[in-house]
Amino acid sequence: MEEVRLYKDQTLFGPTEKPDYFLGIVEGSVKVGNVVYGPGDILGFVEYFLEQPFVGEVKVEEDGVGKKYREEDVENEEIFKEVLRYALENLNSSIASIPTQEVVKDFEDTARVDALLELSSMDEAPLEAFDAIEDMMTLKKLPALPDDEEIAYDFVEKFEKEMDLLQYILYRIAFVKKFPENEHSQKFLLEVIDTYLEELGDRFGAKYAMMLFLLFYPDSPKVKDVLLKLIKVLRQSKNPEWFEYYERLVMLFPEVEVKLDEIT
Amino acid sequence: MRSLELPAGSVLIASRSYPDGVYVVKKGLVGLFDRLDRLIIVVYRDEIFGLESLYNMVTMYMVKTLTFVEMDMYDPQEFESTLDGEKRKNIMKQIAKWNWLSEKRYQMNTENRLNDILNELKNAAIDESYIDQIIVSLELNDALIFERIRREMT
Repeated sequence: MEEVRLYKDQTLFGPTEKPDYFLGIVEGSVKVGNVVYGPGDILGFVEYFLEQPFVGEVKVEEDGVGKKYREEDVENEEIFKEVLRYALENLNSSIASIPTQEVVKDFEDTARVDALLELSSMDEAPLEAFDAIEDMMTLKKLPALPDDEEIAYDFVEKFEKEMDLLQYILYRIAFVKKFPENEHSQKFLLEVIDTYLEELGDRFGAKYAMMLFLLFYPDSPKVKDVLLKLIKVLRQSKNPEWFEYYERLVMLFPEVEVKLDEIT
Repeated sequence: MRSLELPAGSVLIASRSYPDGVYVVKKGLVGLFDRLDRLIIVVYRDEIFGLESLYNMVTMYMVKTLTFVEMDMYDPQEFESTLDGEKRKNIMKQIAKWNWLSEKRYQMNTENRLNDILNELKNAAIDESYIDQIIVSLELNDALIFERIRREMT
């Protein structure tokens, strides 16, 4: 254990830096992202032990004193008890503060969609996934379309963005859901993705439209483009899931050279 | 120390209660549930819960067995006397991981973790009502492992 001075505005760790110690604050305060930690707080033990980067910059807010701890320090009984107590309090308070049913449902749906995406080779997955994604995108009120494929296509194709951007998206998604095998469905879904990204700037909507595309059209020649876009969106929103899709991209298209800096 | 054998569905620690000791899982799966009765962490072989009893601290989660479980239970002082440097480090790593899981709801380093869980499942008589919750709470990155789990469990 090493005692250190903390100086106001000193950067302890950069936004994506993996800490090589964790810090007990004795005096002063330290800000991680938007959260301020004060005397008695121990920060970075999760990131340190799991070798994960901090999310956000770690900066000293007020001058003070801290104790740098490393793995070998917790072999000491006193330090172990101090850190464990804090870690348990932290664990319990994070469990206690799990928010409303809605947020919980969002987590569950995310996990469900991710799971189904992984199972996209299984016959029963896509439609169930569609429902889950539909829930998440709050698209429960998808418009009804004629049962006749050609009439429905004609109607959706002629529905212009200028008429109503949201309806434009909803009609296209409704068409894809109703006629996933139609030769125009891929094109409609790609248009939805582009509309979300370029006109609405809605990364959330775009993400799930892209997941739908990967679920329904895993063999499409456009999969590579969609994966690249999805990775970019996830990286921009600092979502660690990007790496899963990056792995998938590399596995599917080993010839592709991806420069990560170019997709951020 | 007492050795315990409990069927699936046994509640060991109620939410907002004081654990009466420290439990070390030997075999089977145990679940930590939040106040909405949602499974948040799957606990398995060699993992430890009830550490709050070392500090006379209240837990905010409920602990319930998901399968038939064998475990050892220690009085807090007795448990402390078994600790050496290595065990302390391992406990810190486990609690760090649980902190991560509870905050991020995302299982990490998980191929090993999943394989361990899967091995436990092979011989376990699992309560079917937990299957969906377990699937949701587990790492879902690896399609093969995920499918294996589903197959094992259904």
